[in-house]
Amino acid sequence: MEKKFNIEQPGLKSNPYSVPDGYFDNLQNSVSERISAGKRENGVLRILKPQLALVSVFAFVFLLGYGVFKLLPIQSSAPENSLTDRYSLLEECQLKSSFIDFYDQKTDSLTSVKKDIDPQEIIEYINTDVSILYLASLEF
Amino acid sequence: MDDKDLLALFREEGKEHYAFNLIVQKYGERLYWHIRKMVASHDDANDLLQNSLVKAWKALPGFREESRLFTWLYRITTNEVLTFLKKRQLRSFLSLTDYSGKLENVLESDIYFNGDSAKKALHKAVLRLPEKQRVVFNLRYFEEMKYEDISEILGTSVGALKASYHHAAKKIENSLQELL
Repeated sequence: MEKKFNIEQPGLKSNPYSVPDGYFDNLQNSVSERISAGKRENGVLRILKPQLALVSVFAFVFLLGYGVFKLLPIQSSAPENSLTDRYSLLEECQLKSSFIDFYDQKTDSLTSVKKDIDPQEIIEYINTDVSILYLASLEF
Repeated sequence: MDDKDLLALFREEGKEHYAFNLIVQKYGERLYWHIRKMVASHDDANDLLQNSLVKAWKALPGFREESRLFTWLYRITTNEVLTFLKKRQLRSFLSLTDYSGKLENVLESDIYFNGDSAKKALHKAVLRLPEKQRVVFNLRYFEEMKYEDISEILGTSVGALKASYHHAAKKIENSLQELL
């Protein structure tokens, strides 16, 4: 049977590790430097903290808005386009209705009617309708 | 200067740094060896010791002396070491490597390890223990600390600590049979 290793044997507990020369002598200085560096860092952070917070809030709001416009391009741009279209259409109609071109032959109802009706048709119409002849005789 | 005097000095206006330097002088080396036996590497032990002492400096104004200064310092240091080891273990787990194997390699190549083969085997076996068991074993075996003090540091009952030490010792004996 294999003999068990006795961990309580003398000399086994002594420390086999070592450190670089002067390590423990410099330990206090190293720790003091770390503490001072931490204090300086904390001081700068304390000053910059409110500004950083403000900048981050602005950045967050901007990104949020940008994200919303970027994520919803069709919904946000389509109504805008149709609205402009409507405005231009309305403007066009208003111009048409408010401005009458008296020299425009196309829109002149009197001349256009004259042009559209054939004189032969007028003669035929007069011939068929007696009341109109009667009215004409009354005029003379 | 005893701990109460050191704390009284620390609370005096303008003497904080001086008092803290005295605390570092008194406990720094002891804490270093405690860390070193847990992590094997001098560089890691140095970083962890400095981090622990900086944390102690920050927390010392709020120290209410409900526990003794040395157990309080040991608790800060032990927590720092356990957190460090957890992070390293997680990193090793993610890279599919064995962290205790890495620690053994560190010990093997450490230029600041001067022990014979038996001591090397013993410390390798210690590095194979689970972290909390390693803390208990190191504090009891190497530092010969009382169970009551270890209980104050780890917040574990004396009975549980005794059982943990017993299991650790058994595991180490088994590991040593394999290593020697």
